[in-house]
Amino acid sequence: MRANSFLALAWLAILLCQGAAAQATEADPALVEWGRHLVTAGDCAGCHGPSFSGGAAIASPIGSIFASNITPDKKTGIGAWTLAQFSDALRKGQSPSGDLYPAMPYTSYTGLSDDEIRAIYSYLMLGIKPVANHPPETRLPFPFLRSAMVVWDALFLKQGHPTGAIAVTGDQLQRGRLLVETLGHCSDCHTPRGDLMQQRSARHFGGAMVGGWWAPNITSDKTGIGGWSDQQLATFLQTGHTGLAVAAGDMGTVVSRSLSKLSKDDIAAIVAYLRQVPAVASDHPEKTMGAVSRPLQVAEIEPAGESGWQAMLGHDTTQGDILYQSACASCHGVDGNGSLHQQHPSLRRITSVTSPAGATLVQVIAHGVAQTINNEHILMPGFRASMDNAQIASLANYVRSQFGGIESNLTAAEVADILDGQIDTPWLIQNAHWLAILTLVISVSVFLVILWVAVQTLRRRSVKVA
Amino acid sequence: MAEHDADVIVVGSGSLGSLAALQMAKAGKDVLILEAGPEVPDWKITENFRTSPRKGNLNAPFGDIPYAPNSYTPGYVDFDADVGWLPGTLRVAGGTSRHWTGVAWRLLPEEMKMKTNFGIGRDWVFDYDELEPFYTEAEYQVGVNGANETDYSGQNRGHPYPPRSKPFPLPPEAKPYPLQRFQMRTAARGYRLDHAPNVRLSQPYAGRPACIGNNICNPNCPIGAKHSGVQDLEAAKQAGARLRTGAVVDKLVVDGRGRITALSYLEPKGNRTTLTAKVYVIAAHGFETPKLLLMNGLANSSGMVGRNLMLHPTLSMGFFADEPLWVGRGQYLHGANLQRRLQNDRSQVSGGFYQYLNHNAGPAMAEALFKEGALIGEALDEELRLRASQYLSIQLLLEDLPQPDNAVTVNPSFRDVLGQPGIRVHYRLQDYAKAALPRTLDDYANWLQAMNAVPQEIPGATWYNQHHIMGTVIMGKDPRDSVVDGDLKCHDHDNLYLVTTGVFPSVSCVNPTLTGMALAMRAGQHLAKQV
Repeated sequence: MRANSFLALAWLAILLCQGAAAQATEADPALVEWGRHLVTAGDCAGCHGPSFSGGAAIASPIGSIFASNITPDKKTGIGAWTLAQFSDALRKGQSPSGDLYPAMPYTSYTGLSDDEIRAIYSYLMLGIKPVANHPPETRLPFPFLRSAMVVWDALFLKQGHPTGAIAVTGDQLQRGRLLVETLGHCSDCHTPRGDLMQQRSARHFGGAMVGGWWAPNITSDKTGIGGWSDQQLATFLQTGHTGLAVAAGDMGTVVSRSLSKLSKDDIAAIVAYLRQVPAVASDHPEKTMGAVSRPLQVAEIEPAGESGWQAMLGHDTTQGDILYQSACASCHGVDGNGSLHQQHPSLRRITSVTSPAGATLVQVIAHGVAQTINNEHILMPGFRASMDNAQIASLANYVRSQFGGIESNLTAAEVADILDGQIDTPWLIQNAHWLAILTLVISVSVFLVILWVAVQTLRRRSVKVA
Repeated sequence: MAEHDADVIVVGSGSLGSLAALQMAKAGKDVLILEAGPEVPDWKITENFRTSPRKGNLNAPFGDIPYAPNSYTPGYVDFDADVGWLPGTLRVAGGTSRHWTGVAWRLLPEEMKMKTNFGIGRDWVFDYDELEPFYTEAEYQVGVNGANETDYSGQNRGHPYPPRSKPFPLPPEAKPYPLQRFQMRTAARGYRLDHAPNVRLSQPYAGRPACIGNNICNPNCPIGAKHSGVQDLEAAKQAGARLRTGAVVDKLVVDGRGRITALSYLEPKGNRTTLTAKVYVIAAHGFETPKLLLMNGLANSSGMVGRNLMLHPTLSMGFFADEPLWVGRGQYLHGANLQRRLQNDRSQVSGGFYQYLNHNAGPAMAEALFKEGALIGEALDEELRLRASQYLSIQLLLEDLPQPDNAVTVNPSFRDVLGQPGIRVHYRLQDYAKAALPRTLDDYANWLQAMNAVPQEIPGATWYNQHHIMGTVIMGKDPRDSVVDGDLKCHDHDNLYLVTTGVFPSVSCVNPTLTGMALAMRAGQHLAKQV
């Protein structure tokens, strides 16, 4: 880490000597350093990558949006952008190459001050290396054209006000607000969206389905983080795991690339601000079974004795208990209680087990967890290669009912939808393509009818004149 | 339509075949892997192991498949040997490394030139420096834990040996308690315990979790912390190689100039399919590879196919210490004593190394107590607990020399459901290994004294061997006395390659798999340029 900062400084020195700094408005190392902090807290690397050269596909219900290159490379990155252009991109969603899709969280970044924008700009121009990389072109289907975003912005972007942010007073809470609402853009995942993919501010941080994962309720409701202590929250944000949750999927990336690199004070400010956000109940209540079932004994699930070779080698069972014992129990325990120090978490405590619609549980079974956070590895292997959707469904049902105490009747088709990221997509968005075409067809038809009528009328007139 | 069904056909989907396929697939070649057995996920093997009453049988959880018998399928291998164990080989996607213990040694440079250095055995076609980069690549591919500072010759000369171009990808695991105790109590007598490099991860690596001490390294790590050929096969598939299971290859067609023109296989129901490729790679381990060649009369102008079988003769010993050692927690194998490896009298006495078994001692102790039959009830439980906690078992693995009479042949009196023959193994222990017994008894006596122990098994009454099959398609420069050249190409056939530990001309005393992997990667990269 220290070597890295040294390299960054050396790089900066070289740039300054070469006069390349002429591109940036400021060549103040303190400003660059502040910018580095803001870029870390803003988790720019989460989408644009650790080298910031872009290319990663950000899944959306409409299609993949490819992260752009934000290194100072002049041809493929943002090296040729002026400060004003950069500011418009971050705060208004308007870049020199066209309107941005809100996968870029400008509805949050719009809360950045001029000074903060200048610092971020200085860091991106001077603190990182230019990388020549042309990310793939984002091509969303009709009617989601970049030009259409003007209308969306007019409806949903409140310039200067991060969506859903609440007013707070005091240094710590204001710092927390900046980290949570503006830089951290937490609401982009944790706030449910409406029919036009706008954030539903009334349900700010109430939890939402994002790309087939459940981004949990992070308000202090009991269906959210109401039962978490401040210490548990802070530990989770800094290390990516507590006995209650493990950061998987995109949240794992957020922790590894951003939150784990923030100071203790920053984390405390985030926790303090989150506690101020009005509690809302989850809109995905799960039906509980009252009590958690008695743990089954191995002998009840796997009676001893060899069967014929076909049965021994056949692996299409959809008995969740057998799948659990064979694939999961070696780490999580026959009783689901995990390992002694919760390195392998207890399935009776961990929140992903009871995630709405089983979404996060299904994702983790399929893809596993793989994060390195401050040199600490968190790893669970995925089982997508060795279980089909029906098996994942039955395994998830067993874990949810046996250890989570909720009724669970996931089907193979639901697992497929979760893994495709097609869950909870607004009806309008799901059907936008044909709706737009239908609208277009109707409009054209109406226009043609009018035209026909007009031509007929004109003809009649000309006949009369003749 | 393409001229061939694939650029390269690889027969056998084990670790070695898959690693060779991976190299070629990464270079953009169209590679088809044929596997006699089925694909079975690890979790199913875990379930089979748990429900199986045959816990000591490594092959049991993989089933006795009538169309692809394994070496423990009754009648399949006729084992005529004066040593203890028939090697367990599998026919399943991922191959026999599905149940390997996972110890990943390198050979020493001296051990690859036995004839030159010691006047016995055979030399490899190339030297250690040629293989070194591939050892390193293989270690990074499969994730090897190791201690960088160790002199693996066992002679403690103060510098790491053999030379390596990169450090081990992963650090060694913590030393299990029994080995700490053993080391502390035997050190004063001049004994040293080194870490045995192995593929049970000390920290997560390449999507695999770290070992959590389930202590079921074979038949199958229940969490995938230990490497298995399944992972190499998956890597090859990810790189574009295709896999066809249930393909029992029995025929190779050769033209007048010695080139293989086609290969054909039987499906489980007996249907026959014939395929063509530019190059054919047989990677069916040390039993099935020579069997296939002998069935087709191929590659055998030297008469060496199936001969020179080497199995690492082994002396086994055990004792009850005067304190509980609690073997059975953590990895099966962690520590090794290498002091008997590279000694001055290597030309007369086989080099060897001791491995300390950290298996759960319960089943073996219970079996012995039941046989004794003296105790029942609580007294039995008490005695079982005592013995299991104080027991330590040690094996001395010894170098084997290539001896043409030790051989694998086809056994026509066995026929499986597809009408395929079985295997016959003839093996006799040589004086070279036997010469190691006196010093082994000395070491054993020293350890008994140091541990104030009661003998349980004294070495020498019975000779054992390892599940290591080597030498059966031996490598050499001279086509008159060897089967393949240094690129693993058959002397007799320009487009037929053998990727198996069967090619080893010398075998040291150490577990062969990593060396096999390095050879497979080297052959795969060579072929990627040739095809």
